[in-house]
Amino acid sequence: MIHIYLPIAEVSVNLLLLLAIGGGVGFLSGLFGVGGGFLLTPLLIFVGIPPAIAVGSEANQLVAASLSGVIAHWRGGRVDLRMGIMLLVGGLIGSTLGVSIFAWLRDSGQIDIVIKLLYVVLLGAIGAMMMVESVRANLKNLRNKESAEADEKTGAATWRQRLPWQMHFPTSNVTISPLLPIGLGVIVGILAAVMGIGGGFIMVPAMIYLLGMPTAIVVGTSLFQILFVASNVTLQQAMRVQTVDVVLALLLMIGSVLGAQIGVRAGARLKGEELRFLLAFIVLAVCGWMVFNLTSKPDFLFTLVTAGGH
Amino acid sequence: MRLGPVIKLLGLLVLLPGQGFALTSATINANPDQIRAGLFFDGETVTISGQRSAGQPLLLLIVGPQQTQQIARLGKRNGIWMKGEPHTLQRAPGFLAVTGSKPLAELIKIFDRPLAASGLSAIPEYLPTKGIVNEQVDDQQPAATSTGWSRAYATMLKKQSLLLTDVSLQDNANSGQFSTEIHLPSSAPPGTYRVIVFTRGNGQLITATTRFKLTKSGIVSRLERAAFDQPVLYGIAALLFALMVGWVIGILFNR
Repeated sequence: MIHIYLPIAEVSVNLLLLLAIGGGVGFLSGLFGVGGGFLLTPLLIFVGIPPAIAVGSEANQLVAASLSGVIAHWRGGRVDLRMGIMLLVGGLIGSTLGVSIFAWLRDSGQIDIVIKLLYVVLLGAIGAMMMVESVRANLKNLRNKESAEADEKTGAATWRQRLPWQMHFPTSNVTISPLLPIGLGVIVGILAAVMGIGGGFIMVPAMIYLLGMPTAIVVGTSLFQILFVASNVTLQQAMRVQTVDVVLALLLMIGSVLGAQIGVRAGARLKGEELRFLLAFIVLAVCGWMVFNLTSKPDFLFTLVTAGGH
Repeated sequence: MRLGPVIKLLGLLVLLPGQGFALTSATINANPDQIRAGLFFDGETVTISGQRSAGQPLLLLIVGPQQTQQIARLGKRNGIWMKGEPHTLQRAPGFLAVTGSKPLAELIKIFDRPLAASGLSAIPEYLPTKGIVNEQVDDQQPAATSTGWSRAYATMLKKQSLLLTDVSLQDNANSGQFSTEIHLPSSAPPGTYRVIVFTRGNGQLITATTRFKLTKSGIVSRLERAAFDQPVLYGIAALLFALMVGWVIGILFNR
């Protein structure tokens, strides 16, 4: 067993284990277009990495994983650049606001519990919504071969069309107000800054249900946005709190970029509603696990308080 | 030729090991005295050896770098387990190992004063003489006492193999020589480790100290220095490196 000593985390970790964790999360990233931070952070903490180092280093590996995923989707024409830029503008505004909100919550002394509750509420709501919708779409597909996505779009289309400054996004083939993706970017940016995540698991369902984008385009466009968010987080974490461990990030990168490529290929073989069902299942499983952690008695009733970090 | 000094020296040699010779000092050594944590570091075993007056009590402490730690107790509020107000522990040891010639509680009583004089008066708080905190802490307990916080911290150290209280000591009753092996796990904090022996000789309390250092080396040391001394450059380099890896693999896989 080869162990690697991590210079910033100051612990020795099994090399193959880190590669496997990176590979598993990278696979999900490529498959669903989510960064996987909501899974990676608890896994790294579980193998003994301090939480603050886990958050900083996973942002660094996410840059590599999302870029390799973006390239794969870009070549397949599955990245809506115009939509991605709108989301990014909102994301930058939102993350700036989010940093201030994070500082305010931290000063109030219960940032940890707020983050966990936000996770539970968001994961539960999004997971349940996706699960119901994907099961409904699958049932419809079984009855007739009509596109489930086309059916599902009609309800939301009416209120979307009432918003001002309608703009056409040819890659996604939707006409919506740019206020929608910018607003979505702001909300996800705030949540990303407060919760220390890329925001993919919120962004992907929101792009499908709120913006009405096709699932195939959503994944690549989400990765495009995550690339910039993760780059920003890497720089901020390295400069402000020195929590980026490049050795840890490199090992996760190697695993995750390979996993992401396999995930992208696996995703191309699955239908939109099948992808949504699988993502909903994972999101709900993580949500259930977090509820269990919040409500069940811990093995040990004391914990070290770490300064800063998420 | 004056034979007096030679006869005295020969007499001393005869009296040395095995004859209960009363030393007025103790010796202590740590091997290695310099541990380098490189890229493949996975912990290290340190051999501690020394000598004191035969038959005298012995307390041996290995104290890692001391630092300020904040610890909080979890409590259930509205069905959810939440952190309570944190408590600050000053100069809490990052690593602690203890062994001796008698039961620990007895040794702590014997060496209470020299412990305090060595600036280690708080150390007994972390040792099982006062009881490691019971994991089944009463849910209704409103707050931990001062000792309770130290015990809780000690329990955390023990879970990470950073508190060693069952170290076996090779103690030669006739010669007064002793030795032990301490395993430092990879999670042991870098810094200076003090090895302190407390004993008695000629009716007096005797203390001997040595040190060993755990330092990062090679690429591990260079990366750590870059991260803390030049964080802007380190951050940009980390970002560019990630972009390069992502780009190369993205291109390779999509030819």
